[in-house]
Formats: sequence, C-alpha cells, structure tokens
Amino acid sequence: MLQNFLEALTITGAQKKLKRVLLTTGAKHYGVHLGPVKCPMVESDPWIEGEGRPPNFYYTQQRILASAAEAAGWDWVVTYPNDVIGVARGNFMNLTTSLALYAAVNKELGGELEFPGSETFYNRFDSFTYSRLHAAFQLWAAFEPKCSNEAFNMVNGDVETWANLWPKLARRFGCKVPPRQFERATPISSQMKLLDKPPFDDCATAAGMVGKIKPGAVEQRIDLIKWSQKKEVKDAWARIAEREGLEKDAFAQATWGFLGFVLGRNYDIVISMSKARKLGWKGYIDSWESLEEAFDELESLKIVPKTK
Amino acid sequence: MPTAIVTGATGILGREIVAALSQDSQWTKIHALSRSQKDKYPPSVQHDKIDLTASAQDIATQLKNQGVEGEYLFFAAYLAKDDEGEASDVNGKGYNAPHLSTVYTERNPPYII
Repeated sequence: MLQNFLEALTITGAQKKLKRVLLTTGAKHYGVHLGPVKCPMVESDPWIEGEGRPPNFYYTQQRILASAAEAAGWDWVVTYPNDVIGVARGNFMNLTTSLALYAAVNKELGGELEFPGSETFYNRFDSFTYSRLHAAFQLWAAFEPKCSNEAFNMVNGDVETWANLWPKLARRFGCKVPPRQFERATPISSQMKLLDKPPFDDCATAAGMVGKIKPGAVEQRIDLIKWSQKKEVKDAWARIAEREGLEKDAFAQATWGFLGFVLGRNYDIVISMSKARKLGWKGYIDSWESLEEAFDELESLKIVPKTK
Repeated sequence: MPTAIVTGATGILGREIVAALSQDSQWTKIHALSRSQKDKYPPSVQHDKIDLTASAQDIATQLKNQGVEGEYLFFAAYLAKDDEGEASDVNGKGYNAPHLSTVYTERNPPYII
C-alpha cells in the first residue's frame, strides 16, 4: 500500500512537493505480539527477524520509506504507538470500545466485573497511546528538524497496570471487582502459547540470561470471543442497545480477539519515550484520563451507554 | 503555509491527525483520504475517496482526479487482520473538536514551530 501510494504520487507529480513523510507503524515493531520483549523498548533495539520469526510488514514499510526518501529527496519520520486508546467512528474494533462494551454488559448482567485476561499480567506493566496525543506528536515531529529520518516510540508517558485500571473501569461502569476474582472457576478460559524464540531471546547473551527466557502466552480466564457468543451476553447487549438507543451493530462488530490478546498476554510492555523527550517532546497524558475522555466520546456517539 | 495529505483518515489514529491539523490554522489545505464516506469536515479539509489497495496507476488516477497533493504526508492507513468491513459514517456526524486540555505540555504546545 505504502509503496503503491508513493509510486502514485510520483506518477501524478505530487511527489515533487513532498517535504516529509510521517509513517505510523506500532509496537509490533518490537514483536510485542510474539512474546516477552526486552523492557523498556527503545528505538535502537535490533529488529526481530531471521530464523523462527515471522515476517513483519512494518519492517518492509520502513525499508520502502527509507529507500524512496533517499531517491526522492524528502525525509521521513516513523512513530510506534501501542495499545491505542481512542475512538473510530463506524469502526468499533478497538481496545476502548471493547472494554466499554465488556463493562456495560457485565453491569447489565449483575454488576460484577471479572478481569478476563491473564492473572500474571494483571499486575504487570502496559504502555498506552492516546490517539489525540499521537496526533499532537505527529504535528510536532513534522516540523522538528532533528526528527529527520528517525523512528520514535509514541506512548502516553506513564506506565500502567490493570490492577490499577480495572477498579477504575469497574467504578465508572457501576460494577464491582470481586475481591477474590482469581479464585473463580474458568469454564471458558483459553491459552495460546506464543513464539518459541521470543523477542527477548535476542538480548539473552548480552543480558546474561541465556536459557532463562521462556516463551510467552495469551491466557484468558474468560476467552472474550467465547464470552461474546454467549446467549445471555448477546441478549444483555440487545436490551442495553434498545433501552439506550445505541448502535446495535457495535457489539457484533467488536473484535474480541484483540482485547483478549491485550489483556491476556502475560509479559510486560514498557516503552521508553527518552528519544523523543531528548529532542524536546514534552507531551504527556495520564492513561486513565485518556480512557475516560475516549469513553465520554463513545457515549456521545451512542456506541456505549451513558455512565454519568 | 504547509499542506497535508492524511491516509487512513477515518481510522482511530488518522482521524485525530486530521482533527489536529484542522485545528491548527497554519495548515492551509488538508487532504483526508479514506475509502469510506466522509465525516463532516471544516473548510480546510477536503475528503478524497481513495482505494489504497488498488495498483499504483489506479491510485494515481484517483489522486489526479481529486487534485491530491501536499507537502507533508501522514500515512496512517493499514490493513490489519481484524480490520473487517468498511468504516462508515452512519449519520454524517462531524467528530467532536478535540480538546487538548488534558494533554500536558510545558509552556508551548509541542507542535508549534
């Protein structure tokens, strides 16, 4: 897509006007989807390629970008957001919407909000990107000379855990977190092992951890795809949507697999903002506040029920 | 006065890039490219219906027909595995103006030259 688009701009002649191209990829650049990663992730980390690793189209895109830039004379910036918090009108498949729908349905079904992901991950770290902060970053990077031909992590600047966020989520949606939620039975759980040679393995020698790095897994105490297919869940959504005049398709179109992955992978995701900060980037937002803002917007778009 | 092209303009990240550009008066023209129906945009933003999965030549024809050019290309389009179905703006609502009040920056907004 990127290649064809750049070629198309050359065909029309519009490429001659280009000064800078800003490409958005993401933290899959570090292989966060493949298993444990070396934390914090920094832009100078070696790419995760070679034997035992699947192809990564982000790498292809960056290589295309760099070589096209060299030929044409414009320069480039790449950003790596992660676990994006935000709203996409008409596209319900994202972390924020799925979280809100999970909570809203659980409120309807009695108000207990069990964490459906990995018990191991519950008190481990994650780094989120607020879509609006990412936009501010892109506008900053567009004009900053020192960003020329550089890639940047782009996350909110804080580090969070679900142990911290889950009670806040429950409170906002009028639910309670069961005090002993991790002792409950898990009739619709799932486990998926990830890559035998996780990204972290590439640092094993230098870090003195050869033989100590185990593959990761996605452990869902409540497999969200199975959960979303339960009759009582679908009926609950239908009641909520009817009562509150919401977009009926929101639930059916949500891809629960994605949320299941984000909550179920059992290793830390810590992403460093040092590179951008050293060049003068000062943007920051508290991840819970950004979630609240996104929830507010979803409410105003009638995708999720009002909580206030 | 800079001009911009944004691909993936209706996506979770692209829509905010379009919004931020449109809120910053120095950007005189913003081309918002997406396959689907447009949101309501302010005057500095022009929606261009573009299918990025087409060949380079086909894309070029689409770009030429709609006069798409710019000095800064914000490429936020992607084909994720779970990106099923067209994004559609069901009722033509414009998106809320983003308020950056809770985005903390020291003194100057980070993207002002």
